[in-house]
Amino acid sequence: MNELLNKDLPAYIPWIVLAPTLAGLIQNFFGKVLPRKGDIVVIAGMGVALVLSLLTLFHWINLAPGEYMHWHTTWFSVAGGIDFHVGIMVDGLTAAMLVVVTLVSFLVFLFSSQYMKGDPYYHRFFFWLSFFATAMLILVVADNLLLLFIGWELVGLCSYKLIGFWSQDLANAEAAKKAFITTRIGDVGMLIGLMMLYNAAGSFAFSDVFAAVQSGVISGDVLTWAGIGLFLGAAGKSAQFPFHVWLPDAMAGPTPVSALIHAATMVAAGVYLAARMFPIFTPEALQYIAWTGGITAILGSIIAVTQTDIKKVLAYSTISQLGYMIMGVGVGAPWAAMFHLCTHALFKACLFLGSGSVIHAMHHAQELKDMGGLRKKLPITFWTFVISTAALAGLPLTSGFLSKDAILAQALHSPTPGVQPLFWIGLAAAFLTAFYMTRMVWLCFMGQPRNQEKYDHAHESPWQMTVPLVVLALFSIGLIWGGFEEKFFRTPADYTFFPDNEFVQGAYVAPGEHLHEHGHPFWFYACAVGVGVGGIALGLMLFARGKRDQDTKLLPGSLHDLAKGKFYLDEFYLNGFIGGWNKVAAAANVADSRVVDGLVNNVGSGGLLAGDLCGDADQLVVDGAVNGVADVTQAAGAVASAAQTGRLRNYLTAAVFTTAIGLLILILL
Amino acid sequence: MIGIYHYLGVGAALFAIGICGVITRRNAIGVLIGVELILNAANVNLVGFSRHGGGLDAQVFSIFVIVLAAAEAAVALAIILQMFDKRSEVDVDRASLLKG
Amino acid sequence: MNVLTAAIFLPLVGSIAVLFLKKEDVNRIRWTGLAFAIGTFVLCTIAALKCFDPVPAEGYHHMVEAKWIDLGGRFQVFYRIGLDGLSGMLVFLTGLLAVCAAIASWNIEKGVRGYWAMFLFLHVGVIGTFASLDLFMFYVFWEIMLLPMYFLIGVWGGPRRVYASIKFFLYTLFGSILLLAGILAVYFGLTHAESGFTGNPFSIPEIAAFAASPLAHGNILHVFGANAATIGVLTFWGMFIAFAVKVPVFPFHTWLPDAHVEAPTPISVILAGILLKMGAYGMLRINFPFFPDIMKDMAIYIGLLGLINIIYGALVAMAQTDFKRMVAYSSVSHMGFCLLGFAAMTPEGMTGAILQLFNHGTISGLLFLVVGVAYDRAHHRDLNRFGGLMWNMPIYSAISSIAIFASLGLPGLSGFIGEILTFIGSFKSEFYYGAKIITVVATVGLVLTAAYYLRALQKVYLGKTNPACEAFPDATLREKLAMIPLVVPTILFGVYPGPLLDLIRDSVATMTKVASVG
Repeated sequence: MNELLNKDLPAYIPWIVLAPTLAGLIQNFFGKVLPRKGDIVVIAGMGVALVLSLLTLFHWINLAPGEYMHWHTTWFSVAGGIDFHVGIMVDGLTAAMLVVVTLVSFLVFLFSSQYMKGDPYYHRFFFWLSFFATAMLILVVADNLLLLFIGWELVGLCSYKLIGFWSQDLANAEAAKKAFITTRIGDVGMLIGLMMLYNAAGSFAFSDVFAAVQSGVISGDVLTWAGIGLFLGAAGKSAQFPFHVWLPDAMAGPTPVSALIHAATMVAAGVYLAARMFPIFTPEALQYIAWTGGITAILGSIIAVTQTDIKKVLAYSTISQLGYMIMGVGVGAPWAAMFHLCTHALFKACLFLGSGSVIHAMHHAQELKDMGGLRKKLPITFWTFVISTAALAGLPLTSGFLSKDAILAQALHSPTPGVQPLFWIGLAAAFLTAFYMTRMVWLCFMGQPRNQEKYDHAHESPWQMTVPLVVLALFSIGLIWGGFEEKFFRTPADYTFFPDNEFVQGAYVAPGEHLHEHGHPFWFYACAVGVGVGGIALGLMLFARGKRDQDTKLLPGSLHDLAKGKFYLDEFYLNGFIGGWNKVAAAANVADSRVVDGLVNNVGSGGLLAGDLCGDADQLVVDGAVNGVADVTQAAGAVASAAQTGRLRNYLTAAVFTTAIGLLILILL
Repeated sequence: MIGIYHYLGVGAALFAIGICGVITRRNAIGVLIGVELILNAANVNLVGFSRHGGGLDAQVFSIFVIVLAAAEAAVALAIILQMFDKRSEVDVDRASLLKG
Repeated sequence: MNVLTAAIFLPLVGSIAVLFLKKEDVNRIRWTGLAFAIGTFVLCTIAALKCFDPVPAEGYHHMVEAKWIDLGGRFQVFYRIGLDGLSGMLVFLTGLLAVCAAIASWNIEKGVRGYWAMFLFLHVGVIGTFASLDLFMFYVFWEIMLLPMYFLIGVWGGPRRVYASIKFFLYTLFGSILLLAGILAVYFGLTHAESGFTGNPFSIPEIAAFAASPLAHGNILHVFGANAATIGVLTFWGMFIAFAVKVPVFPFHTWLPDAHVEAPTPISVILAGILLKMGAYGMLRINFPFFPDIMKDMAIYIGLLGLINIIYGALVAMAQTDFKRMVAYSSVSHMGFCLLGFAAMTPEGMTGAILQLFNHGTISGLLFLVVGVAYDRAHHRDLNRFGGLMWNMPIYSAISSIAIFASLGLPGLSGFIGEILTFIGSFKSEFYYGAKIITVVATVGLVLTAAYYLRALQKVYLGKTNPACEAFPDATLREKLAMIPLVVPTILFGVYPGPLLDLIRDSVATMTKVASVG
């Protein structure tokens, strides 16, 4: 370890987690008697967490470089003096995540209080929202992998419950189940990674794990596999190829849930994990990570071009942007990934809430075919949407420009071997992003209304919904983020727990490093700005004349069909994967009842059969001969049968007394 | 010290109790318990003989008897269950289907 | 009077007391039975609480040693009972489930007096087995448990009860005979003049101590000369199979689904919650400590059997359409984790496996109560004929969700800690070759478990309320009273497993130490 300094944790920091927890519990148990079913309690709890997070952030900024705040206690211990801890650790990464999570949560809670108004299960909704915030904050502040994993699984549970919130419709329940199981497949990889790291380090604490990596207790292929295992968990949560299929379906949940969980926070947890665990990734693992991210980025943006449901467009956009972040980690710039995570969380939350505002106004219609021209009816929603779109498209002066270009720049100079092509893939994805967002904005807000009836009923949303939009849109402005990465990730040491080890130093690209050393060529900026502007220009060119609508095929024929069919991965999983396992299960069941149990029963029936055979033989052969004798005997028997009462006890009594008399005679004689 | 007659005494007592049980009980489970007692009376004798000069053979026999007793108990219990299922009672006197 | 002895025989007193009541007086019988169950629970709890204290000089808490049968020579059977953390935990679990099952037994209408007598009598065998420190007594209590169980399934069970109970009886008897043969082999081996063993040939602690000492030459049956190794291995496996039938371990598991499906709800609770634990307990108390060196060679097979149990049980559970049968197979799957942890012989693995014993006891007990509630209303258990219960039975559905998520290992609920400790402990194990691969493959079980449980959750609780289920009332007070005592430990020990771990720490240390000798 290099000059890491462990500072005591200010006493208010645990309350960032405890405040929403308590609020959630109060609302759960007393919500039904509280006014407005206790949503105010939950929102207030989140507000407290937000204020405390900001305090934490400022507290952290005032620490010297390389310092972090840490507190932990024993949770339980097993024989042999092995302790398992729970603890809170706040460094730059955590501080940034805390503010993003609490800010988006607070705004989404506020938004939900109008969006979900009148739902018969309003109180249940708020309970799960607040439980989600708790779990997410546990995940973020955890100082060890076990606690992180606990938060990780709990956010998965909340995601399951909230995607399936309207589970009267079985399709929603199906989507929830798909999300849970798909991410759990990734979690199995993560668990294997955890086991490998624990085996090497003898502890789950980040500091111990990194120390083990640094000292070479775990290295080489084993470390690569541990890293890839852990990353599979991240890929599951962050909807990376090939686990991305659950995220579009997850849009079945209420829109605020999509904004909070499936755009801003939970899905970003995978990126957070990858950034947090960056020091354990070997170059091979980073290569795998970078390519996964790159493929996901381009795949998501291609599919997004063909979607006609505004939430689905945004979902694929999220997948694509998460791919970007993961790519950022893979190319050795976790700080850039985190930067993009933060900016993206805010503008994507704004976009989702904006779409929620539209859907609310359109009485739960979310197909582009019912929209058009809405800018007049929903001015605030429209302008915030446009600003966020500019950020997503990466136009200069927006937050998205800064963070996206940071990733692209590092991709160009990455020390990870064999990832340079990702720069071009990243550019292509950025171009497509600008294009499909323009398409959506135009089809939704501009042009003529395509469904006059719905248009006439549309209305701007109340302040609880527009205020969050405005606040989030403000964060799309690039100025606010000036110097973000330099503040938070000044040196590898600042990025807490970076061991001073050669390989990590080699793989890591510090913020602005290449900029200072090489400066960026003019063509880099030209490309970076060009793809954003170009995408928007192409979008405007195609749609501004109003000849094309949501059904126009924008991609070459077969590619369009493929993308529209989501590259048929869902079908492949359904038939190949799930179908396969179901067949195996059915076979196991048959084997169990026929073979294993059959064996047992056959032993039984075998005995019976043998008995039958003997019985038959007895009747035919032995009995046949005896029958003649029997006939004679029968007559005699009829006489003797009087003694046969059929009562067991009589027989026995007779037998006992006969024997006794016999014995007596023997003795007497 | 316990001698051979102690064993034989216990065996005889068990046997007698078992016989009485079998003869006097009307409940099939009671009869079954009696039969088990009789079998175990034989066991006690075997083990006693084994201890006093009979070698291990007698013990082996007693294990046979235990296995036999177990099998017998299984079959008998099955019969009793069937009987209970079919007739809702386990009175052996009323199950006089063997009446000539 | 020794509190442990009282805990063993109080149910017996209750069983007899119930028989003195009038047959028609069903409510008095029920209240009497419940009172004795609660009394047993209180005594069990007091006995278990003592186990938090440091281990006394004689090695066990509540130790009683009184001569019972003396045939001269070395054939001396003692009434020898005592508790350590492991058995203390299981005795507490028995008491807890006895109360829950007693409350759930209220709606048994047929032969009430006989039922309650049998029900209470069952606990004599169970608590006695956990408390015994004498092989002979262990065997006696082990067999005592069998008979009431046979009748409880065979008389008060479902339509195929006769088949199920005979199957249960024969299977267990098959195991018992192997156990008896094992006990005899140990007896003859140890009483041989050259065995080097000077203690009582039935005393479990003395034999275990002997097995760990150099006098045993790595095999307590070493007196059998050239065949000693073979006899040792055969005895080990014989005893293992005896316990494996109860656990149940593949391929001896097929009695379990039938017995569960046919048994009435409270009996299923006890069957899954406690009886399965007796098998695992037998392995820990007798099988592994008696044969530490053989255990070392055989650990890989035990690990493999654990793996098969996990995956195979989960797969078969996935294919079920009967709710109760699915839960029964999930027990097969979950008990596989115990085997995996046992085979690892690491502190984490052993702790996880023993925690799993307790947690599976409460969780599967809860799951069977949940199934029972649904069955009482619908009179069927077909997963496809429910639907949307969460809308008209919210409290019941919440409890069901807790049970299901606890069973699939969600953090914050008790199932998780046992599973994660088992996994990391098993992965860490150097006790046998291949532990890492077996553990990695076993993780697939987690996905399968999630798959079948979420499918059941969806079919029964989500979706539109099935018209046939619309009139179902939510859980009644009695049902809640039966379920909530199990919900509490599920949440409590998920968040804070400390008390359980304190209880079993010394036992785990002993077990892992004994097995690593040689």
